[in-house]
Amino acid sequence: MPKPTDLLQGTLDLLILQAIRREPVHGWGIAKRIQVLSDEVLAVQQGSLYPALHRLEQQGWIKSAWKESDLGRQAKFYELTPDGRRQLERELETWNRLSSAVRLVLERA
Amino acid sequence: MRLPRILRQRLRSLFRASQANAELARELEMHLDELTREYIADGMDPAEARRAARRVLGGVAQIEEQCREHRRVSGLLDPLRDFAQAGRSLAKSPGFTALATLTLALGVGGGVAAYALCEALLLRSLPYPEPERLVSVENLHRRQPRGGFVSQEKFRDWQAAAQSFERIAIAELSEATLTGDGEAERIEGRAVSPGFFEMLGVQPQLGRRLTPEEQQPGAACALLVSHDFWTRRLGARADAVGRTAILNGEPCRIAGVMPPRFHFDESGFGVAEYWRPIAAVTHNRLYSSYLAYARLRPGTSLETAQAEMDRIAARLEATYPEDKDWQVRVKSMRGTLLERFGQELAIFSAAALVVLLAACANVAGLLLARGVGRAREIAVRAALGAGRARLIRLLLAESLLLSGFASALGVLFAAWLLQTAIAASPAPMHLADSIVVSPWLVAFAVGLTVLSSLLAGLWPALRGSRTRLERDLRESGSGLVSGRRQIRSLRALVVTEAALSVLLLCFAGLLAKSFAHLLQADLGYRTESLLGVEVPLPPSRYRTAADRLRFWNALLDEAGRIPGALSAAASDSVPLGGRYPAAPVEVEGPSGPRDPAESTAFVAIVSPGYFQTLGIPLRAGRELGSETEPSVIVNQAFVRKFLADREPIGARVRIGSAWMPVIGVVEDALYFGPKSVQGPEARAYGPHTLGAYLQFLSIHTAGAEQSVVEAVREIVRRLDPQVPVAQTRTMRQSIDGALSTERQMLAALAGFSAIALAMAATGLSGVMLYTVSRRRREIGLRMALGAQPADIRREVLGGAVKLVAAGSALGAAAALAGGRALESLLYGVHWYDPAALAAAPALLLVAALAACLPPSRRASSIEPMEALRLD
Repeated sequence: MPKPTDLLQGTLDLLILQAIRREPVHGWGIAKRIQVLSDEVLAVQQGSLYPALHRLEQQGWIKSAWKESDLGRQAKFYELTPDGRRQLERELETWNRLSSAVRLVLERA
Repeated sequence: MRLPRILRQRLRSLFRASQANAELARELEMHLDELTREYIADGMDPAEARRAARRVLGGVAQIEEQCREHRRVSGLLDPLRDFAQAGRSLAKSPGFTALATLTLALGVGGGVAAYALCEALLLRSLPYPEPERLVSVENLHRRQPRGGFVSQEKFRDWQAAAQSFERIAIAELSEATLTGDGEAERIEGRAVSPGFFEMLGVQPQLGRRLTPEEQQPGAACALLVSHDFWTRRLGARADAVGRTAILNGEPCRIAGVMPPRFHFDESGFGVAEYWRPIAAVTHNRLYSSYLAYARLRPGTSLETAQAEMDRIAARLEATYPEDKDWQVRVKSMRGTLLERFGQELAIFSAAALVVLLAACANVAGLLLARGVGRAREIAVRAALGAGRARLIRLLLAESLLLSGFASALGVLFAAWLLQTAIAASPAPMHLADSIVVSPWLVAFAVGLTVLSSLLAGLWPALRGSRTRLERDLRESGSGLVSGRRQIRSLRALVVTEAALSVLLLCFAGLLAKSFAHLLQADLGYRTESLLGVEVPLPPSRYRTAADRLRFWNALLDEAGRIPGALSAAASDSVPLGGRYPAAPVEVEGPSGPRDPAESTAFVAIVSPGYFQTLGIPLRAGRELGSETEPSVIVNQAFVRKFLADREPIGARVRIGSAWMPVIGVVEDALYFGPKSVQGPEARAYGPHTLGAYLQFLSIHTAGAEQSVVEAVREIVRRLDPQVPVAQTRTMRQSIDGALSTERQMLAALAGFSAIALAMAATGLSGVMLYTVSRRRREIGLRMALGAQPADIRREVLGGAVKLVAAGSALGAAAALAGGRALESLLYGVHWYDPAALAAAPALLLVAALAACLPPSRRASSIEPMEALRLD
């Protein structure tokens, strides 16, 4: 199995926001979701995940609540706030612009 | 919407930190469980799965700390935590804390005192509105630009012509005998022209300014008195205004009392106790005894005023022949203050700054050494999740806390320094009134505290926070070659301290040598066993020359018979006392035309026995007897100046009005004291029978001068109770007074350099002890291989000598570079004086060797086996 790539600073925020876009998810779930959706390429280090969640919460983009998980155990679920939703759109747009620019350079050079 | 949420979050983080922490712990716990389950599902056995999950998850403590930082409460709570932790850590090493605090206190205290002095002397000693507009207007001769005094006539011309000044006024020294309630007393004051107080912008505290009517010629006498006079003589009574004081036998109405901080002693006179209107007199344009002051119009610059006064002076030169070669200089009062105190203040402040730097270097060294010893503690903290920023903050908090204690102590030190300065400063400086705890002073002290903590603490903090976890945790602290980098830094600090102390020692040495020169200077008169008593006769009671002579002859007669008095004499001036009038000198016979401004001599009136009493040797001719014929004794400088080409005895000279023969020549005497850089001045002594105003009784005593003081007072009281004894001073006291600035500067620099020296020595000793303890194993190994204790001792001392030599070279170079600044304060010594410059490093070397004996002894007493077993 290839070594999972380290995430670019800033990209993690985008991935977290995207991962909880549809429904509230707990920390473990977020990490898992990113790993699965990226075909095991992206592994979120726990040391980065929780600080990032706290940072996003402090910035008011996500909010959290304790709920029961699928396995019947209390877990902290994170969900987007309206501000977070707007922030996600802004970041997606930035990301798309950036990645398409990179792709253009790679294709044309 | 977002804002309230953020706010709520932050508040929650702040006030419910423990809950937030608990939640985080539960979150991480769950994460761990899930990961473990996954591993188990992959086929690991439970215990191994748990271990693997823990490994992947990383340090829980670090994650917690990072989350805390993201919660952004750190900015609020962490400083408190840092300080608490720093306090605990300082309390654990009281010796270090005490030493560092004391060292920094000396540095900060000196700095605060220097600032307070600067503020007092340069900013606060002109307690008038808009002091920057105040100027003095000086009347100066082109070739002898001294004094600045002006005549009433010329002042009126200035006043009529000058447009640059809002107001211009003159003041003159005035002295009076105060009689009435209490003992007769001689007091000093000023006679001032109309508009003087308006020009300064001051109001009396009680009563009112002098009215134009009171300042008319011929008006009844009216006075303003000083706050001191009011409390001392008038009992600080509110009804003092309107009462009468008897000055020189004339009743004077007290019109007002000036505020306590009003002195206006800006002219080198003594302390003024009263102000009276100037007597309008018409002498002539050369009768210059007034000092002129003015307030510039708003928006008028000093240069504009100077240019205008240049034009006026040129016009007066063209109009009046006696005004030829006289110029005018407009000088800001602030500038004058800077001229008077600037250099001493600059040197004092620079010395204080050097001590502060040395103190910071010393404490930085202490902190560095402590940091090395604490590497493991720091590593543990880092392992527990403290980031580098956090560690730096913690270490800086320690040094800030240290300088906080230090500045509290330093303020006490500064207060003591200032008290000493006030006690030693001459009364007309009114230093005590100008030193106040101003907001600026407080800000300066706080700033200095922070600055010193950064200076001392930043480098050690940056150094100490650089951790390599694994190594530091494993290292036991006595590896063969460990801590080399730290030792290099410590050595650099010690070299700095040595250089700073050598710099100060060089300056102190120069000042000491100069002071010794001043003390040993041959003044030309006796400096011990000589008492001077000032006995001013009130003119109202002694109107004629015969009246005055009768009193003085009786006084001399009785004073000569006091037991313990060897001889007594009277004169109108004594060395370092009274005023020295100068008169134009003419010599009979052929001589070329002379410049009147350069052909003057100082004139004194003396009684028989004057030269014997003062100990001024007679070189030729005879002493003055009781001649009634005008005759004169001159000094050797007079002979060189006027009679170089002829036999002085018998030559006829005209001094003032009458022609008289020279009957004797005496040796030169430095009447202005040891600091007269110009050398002895031409002087002529006339007989007291000529009717001038005698003022001083000099007595050559057999034993201590004080033993005859009471007898003199008793005689004066018996002869006339209305005559005050104004002042009694021994010649030693007069000379000490004349050298008070030099003494203070020397004491300040000697004190500062002693502090710097002690810091350098303790710093060196500390580094050496540290080096030896780090090198225990190496030294033990070498001793096991046959090195002798003496070799080891020599090596340790040699290392210290190397550091001292490097520091000395740097310090001496700095002293040579900065020595010129001291030049005008030095007498009989060059700023590059080799002896003074060599003595400083020698002194440091002695101190350093003494300080390094304990470390060298410790090094040579290391037991090889024990040292090698360590670890």
